[in-house]
Amino acid sequence: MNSFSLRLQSLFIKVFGNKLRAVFFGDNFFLLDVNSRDLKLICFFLKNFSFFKFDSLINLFSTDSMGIGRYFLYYNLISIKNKFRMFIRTLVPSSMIITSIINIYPGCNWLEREIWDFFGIFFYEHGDLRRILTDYGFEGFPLRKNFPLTGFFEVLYDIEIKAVIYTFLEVTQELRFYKFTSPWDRSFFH
Amino acid sequence: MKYSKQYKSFKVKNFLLNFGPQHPAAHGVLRLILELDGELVIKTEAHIGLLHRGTEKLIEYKNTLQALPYFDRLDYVSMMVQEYAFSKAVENLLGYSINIFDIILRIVLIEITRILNHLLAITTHALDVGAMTPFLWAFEEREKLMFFYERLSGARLHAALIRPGGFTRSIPLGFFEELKQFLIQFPSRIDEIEDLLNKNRIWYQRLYNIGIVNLKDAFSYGFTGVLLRGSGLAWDLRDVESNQNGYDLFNLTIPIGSVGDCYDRYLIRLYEMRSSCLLLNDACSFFFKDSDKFTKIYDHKLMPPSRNMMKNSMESLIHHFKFYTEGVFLPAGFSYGSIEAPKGEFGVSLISTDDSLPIRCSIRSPGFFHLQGLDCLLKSHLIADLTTIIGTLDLVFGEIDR
Repeated sequence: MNSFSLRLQSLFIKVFGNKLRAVFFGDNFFLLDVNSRDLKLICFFLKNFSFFKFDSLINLFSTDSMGIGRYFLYYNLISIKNKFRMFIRTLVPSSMIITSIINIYPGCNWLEREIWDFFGIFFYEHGDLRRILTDYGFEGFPLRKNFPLTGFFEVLYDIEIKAVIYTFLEVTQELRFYKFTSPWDRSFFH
Repeated sequence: MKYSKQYKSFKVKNFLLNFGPQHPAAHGVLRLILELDGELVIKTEAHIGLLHRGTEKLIEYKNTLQALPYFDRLDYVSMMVQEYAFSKAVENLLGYSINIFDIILRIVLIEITRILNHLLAITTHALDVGAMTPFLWAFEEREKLMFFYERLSGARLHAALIRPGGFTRSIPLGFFEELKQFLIQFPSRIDEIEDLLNKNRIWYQRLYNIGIVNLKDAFSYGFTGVLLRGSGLAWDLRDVESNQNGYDLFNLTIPIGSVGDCYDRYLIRLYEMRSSCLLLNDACSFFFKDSDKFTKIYDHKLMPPSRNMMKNSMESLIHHFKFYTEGVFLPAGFSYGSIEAPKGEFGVSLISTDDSLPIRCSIRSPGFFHLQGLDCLLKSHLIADLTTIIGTLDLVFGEIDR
């Protein structure tokens, strides 16, 4: 927790006090929880305000927690000027539509495509929201928790018709998924 | 005044060309759709994901010990760096800090890996541009470095050596003496590669002023590593986060470019190999001097007890059993571990909810961002420069497709 982090926090509470949901900070990270409708404004502010100068979007990823607020987006920004890294977290609304920040950080083009591909979160104003990492003609959103690890289809070479074909996956044994987590309280750890 | 507009009709002669996914200059399974105007590239569209293995999804079903080997296989020429990033993320989540001996040993492993990667990056780039000899010479050096990998971990490539909390194995006897022997002869091998390439007219003309990245583009596309330093900004996570990764113990010089073209980036990679050599030398002497002063005490919630301890102490047997069945317990929270990989910033974000399996493990691979900027880099270049620019990006599809 350095002085920049403290100033960042106080300034944020002053400027965006009513828009922030929560602020978390640790030894080496700073996480801001914002409403999805204020996301674009806050990103614009962070990038262009000369005190912050968060020039570069390092990463953008989504999580699926299978709860009521199911999907979260995490933005990882760095400020070259201040040598500082921060994270912005936002809850994706149940409509699964969120504003793209491609006009502010052009580097999030593929990242947003990836999230659309994996989670099915739609980015409004993106312009070129196609699938990116999955196969041509793939259906479904594979990183959602309700998508099975083994998938639905398998690809194989059919020797009779001499072509690569897709068939329904047949596994002789169900995926065995062990959970060994102990029922006792583990909070004493460290 | 009457408004008039002149219409000129002309023929559009742009055409589309498919490049890859099995082209040898594409460094893997990269498919490009190029829009060409004669020989001029107008637009590039990259199709990636042909090597997608679902690493992130798989890690959600694995405990840390099982997840670790996936990181070797992401960028399969800089293996230990990625193990480090994952281990760092897990340690950050647990709030665990390793001892100074292990920190320096990790730096040694990372720098060996950096040399390993840059040797491949420079010489396969040279191979694409037309110089074959450096490639053959560098692979001899890579062989020596992979011998170190083998001595340390038993595997030449996918080491799985750095693990949350420490290392899989202890360091073999005489390792640092051998490393020192290697470091004595290695700088002259770099000299030989430089002799062949630096003032070679073909190499120079094909790299100079090609693929210029200005700083603004580098920021906006999320470039890190050599691509950012080539544009003249001394941004290296080894330096920036030196208090976290232990690099503040060493002298580190960060080379930066002046033009931001492919030739600058080639020189930076060369220089980084030399500075890695110096770093390794420092670290080796550190081990010669002070190695017996450190006692290694491991937390057996994170590292399994030794075989001997397991057979002789009940507590250790319990730890052993718990570690290999349940895995490392990850408390609820969010953590990020990153390191300056040879290609750029490699980061792992872990999100966990009081379980031994993370609910999400997001991998930030530098190559993904560099390939994204390919369209910007390649605009208004000739198609012959395509191989030069793909070479300078140092792409490995294991990490881009994940």
